[in-house]
Amino acid sequence: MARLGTLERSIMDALWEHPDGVFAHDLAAKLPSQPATTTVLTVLVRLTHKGLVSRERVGRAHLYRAAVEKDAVVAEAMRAALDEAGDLEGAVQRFVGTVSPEVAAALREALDARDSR
Amino acid sequence: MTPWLLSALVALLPMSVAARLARAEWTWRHPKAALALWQAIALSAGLGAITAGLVAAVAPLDAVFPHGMHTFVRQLAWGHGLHGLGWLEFAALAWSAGVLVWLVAHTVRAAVVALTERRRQRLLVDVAAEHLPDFDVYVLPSARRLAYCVPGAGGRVVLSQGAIDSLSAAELQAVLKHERAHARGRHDLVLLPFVALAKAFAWLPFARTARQAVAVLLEMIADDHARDPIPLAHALVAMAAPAPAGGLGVADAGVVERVRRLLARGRQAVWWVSVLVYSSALLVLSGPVAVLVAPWLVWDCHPSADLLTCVPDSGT
Repeated sequence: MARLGTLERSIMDALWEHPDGVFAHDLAAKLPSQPATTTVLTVLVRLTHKGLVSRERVGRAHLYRAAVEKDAVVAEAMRAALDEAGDLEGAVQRFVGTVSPEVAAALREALDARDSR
Repeated sequence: MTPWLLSALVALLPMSVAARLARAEWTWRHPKAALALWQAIALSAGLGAITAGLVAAVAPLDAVFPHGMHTFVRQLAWGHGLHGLGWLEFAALAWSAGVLVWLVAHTVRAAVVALTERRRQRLLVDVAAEHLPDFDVYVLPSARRLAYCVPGAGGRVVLSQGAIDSLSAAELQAVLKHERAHARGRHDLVLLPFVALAKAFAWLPFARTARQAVAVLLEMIADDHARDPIPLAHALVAMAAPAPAGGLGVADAGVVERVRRLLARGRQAVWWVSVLVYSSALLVLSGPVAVLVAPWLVWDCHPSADLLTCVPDSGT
């Protein structure tokens, strides 16, 4: 499971480095783990279905591109944990949510009061 | 019939203490016991609502609920269907079936939504975050301070770079312990029925209060897994992001209570309070369970006879 996640990550990294697009067999050759082209294709198709990768037919092969910027993926990964309501609430368990500025100040004061004792 | 119906309806009463239970400070010191009490109250209310309909539905068949239930089951088994039930009883039966189906449907829906969201979240984390194998932590390149875990099989603990930069080593350890406690305790599964309940009965104050209170209790249970509470309190204060100005500022309801209980280390759990709370939970559950189980314990013919074929003692 962790290995597959690593492969997804290195594939996306390679696609972000080559905004003009990469063929699957070139991509497989570029990756340090030297995966089989079929393995890379499987992951590419999966990522295409998830909307992270787009592909375009060039001759007899597909040219693959990143469909989203890395910043956008990071932002989406962050947002799930920052959203206050909606169906996303079941997705993650975050450490702490947002508080009003007054509460934040009160918390800091309580902590300082304890530390200075 | 009346005593049976009453004992089924009594199961709904504990819902009325929800607001007070959600505010009670002893629950902070006994979060596990308080969680059990919330589960008992919710389960008892659900069973009570379903059982009350059943009791009312089979009332014309026999004055005593278990006997009426036997007659009803026998009728169904012999293909007589709902013979002897008026429209009122039919409505009561439809109520029971409706509540059951509604609850199950929302639970399934909540589970499917959570699974789909989590799969997406795991993919995003895998693609965008750096995995630190030494700590088994995923780090998102963002200056905002954030920590969370994606629960479930193959769960991930995620920190933002901003969180790592702003916390000391001890505080980071505390945060990681907290998130791992969520993942290991499968707190997502504990919360799921309450999320489903809040969606299924959004108009019911109890459902919203319970969902909120249980979420806070789960945070406190995870807080208790951090060895030293003081770094954790520091981390909480450092990470509690002030709501963006102009936003509605739906505050994280639990954070004030969590910091206060972490700072007040001296006030620990009292054993007899735990015993009392667990006993109350059992007591709350016993009513509706007893009514539901009674038809299968009380026989209206010789116990050796088959339930479906024995003849009811008419007249007694």
